[in-house]
Amino acid sequence: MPKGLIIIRWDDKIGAVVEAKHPSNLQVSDDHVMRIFTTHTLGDAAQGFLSMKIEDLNVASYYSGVLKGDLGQFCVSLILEQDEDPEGFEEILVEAAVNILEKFKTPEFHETVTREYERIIKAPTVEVEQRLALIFSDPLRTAILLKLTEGSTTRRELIDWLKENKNMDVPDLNAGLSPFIKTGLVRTSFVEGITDECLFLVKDVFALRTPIKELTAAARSGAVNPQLSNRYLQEVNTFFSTYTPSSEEISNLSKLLTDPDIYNIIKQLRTKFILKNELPSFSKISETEINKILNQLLEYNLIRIIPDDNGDEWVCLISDIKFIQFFPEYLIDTIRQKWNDGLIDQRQAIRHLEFLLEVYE
Amino acid sequence: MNQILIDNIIFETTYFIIKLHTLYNNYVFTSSRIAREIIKSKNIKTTFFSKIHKKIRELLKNWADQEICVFLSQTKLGHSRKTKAVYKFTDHGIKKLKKYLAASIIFQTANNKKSYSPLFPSRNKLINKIRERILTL
Repeated sequence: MPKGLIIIRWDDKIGAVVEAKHPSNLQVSDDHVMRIFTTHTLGDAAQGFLSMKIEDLNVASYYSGVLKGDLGQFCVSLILEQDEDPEGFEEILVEAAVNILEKFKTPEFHETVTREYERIIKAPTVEVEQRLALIFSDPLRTAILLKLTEGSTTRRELIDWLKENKNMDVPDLNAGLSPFIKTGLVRTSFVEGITDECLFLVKDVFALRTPIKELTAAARSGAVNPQLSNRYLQEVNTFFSTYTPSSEEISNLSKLLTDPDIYNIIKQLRTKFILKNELPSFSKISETEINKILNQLLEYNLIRIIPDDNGDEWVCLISDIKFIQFFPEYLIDTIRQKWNDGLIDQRQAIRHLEFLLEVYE
Repeated sequence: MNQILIDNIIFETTYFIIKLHTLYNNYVFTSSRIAREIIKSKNIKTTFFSKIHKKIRELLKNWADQEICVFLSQTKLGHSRKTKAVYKFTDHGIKKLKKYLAASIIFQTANNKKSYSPLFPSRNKLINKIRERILTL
């Protein structure tokens, strides 16, 4: 489990200053604070994530670059145990850093640091479906996916396209691309004759809301209380008979999956119906928080609370979000067409086709 | 029949099968239909039909050994000597053929062969197909 989180700000007069830390008894020497900061700013001082070992300190760290509005430059650094892998914390730390820095100079700043640290320790590893959820929950990443389905592009071209066509600024492209690369959807490579790094989509993904096969099968086979089964199947049928998918809804559902507490509850509910009053035993959060989560799940039509004959309330997952990865064979045509039309370099086309061939199963 | 054509028979047959599979979700093909298609697309004299047909039957037999397709039947009209073999392609076989096509396209691109006609289903079509399969499970 990570030892703690520190927020370091660069002050032009006194150097690296710790603006906040959690837990409050976390010990990091001034020298280490300065070295974390300078490790980021050495070279081209690129904004983004770095993992580093400074003497006995194992650190996963995010550097903000110079923020707009004269806020300065920050490092949000997670101090880890010696045997922990910093790379595993990349996405969650970047998300946490964005949330924390948004609150800098506001009364909620310290509270946000505490909350984000607790979020990080609850989900030490990000699962594949959560990484995919990060793509669909973020308009920037959804736009990146859209662009990459049109063929390979360089980093610069992608940033320009996002700016011109989607009116989106890209403060940190590495952070935006991270879930794509970690899930193997995108490969990066330099191609001879092109000065910028190229991005190649090699696996595609889409999201959809589905019924839960295992639960509906169990309900049909009578493996659960018949009264509950009938009501459950009725709820599933009623919901899906009038259901219309939308990208906004997929984005909202994806956001839920990126929250570790909600994700843990959904994971439990995928396997069985659970008595409402037994839910706290499946998770480490308070009853009040569980009720808050259940209200959210009800609002997004993911669950129904169904009473049985004894008046006990059962929490039943009636729909779920699935991220389906598939091979983008359409890209073979797209690449050939773009090369024929002179829109991409021959070597870029060949490299992309080679990558596609490598991942084709 | 020129040698180049014989070398191209595998590519042309694969291309034809994938094209029809993409357009009509077709899995069953006859050797004579493939032979006619190659003659048409390559603008070859029809007198070469029997030679091409023989090559295609050999190719399909070879593919059946590799479990790319399954032999269904051999048909023959009563009054004619002409026969045709009917094969059904498996999902595994279609995948293998697509992989072969992708590799051939890399080779063509590397050799500056700029020919293009859409062959694979569009992204939307692919997604709809997968979505349909998942939701009907």
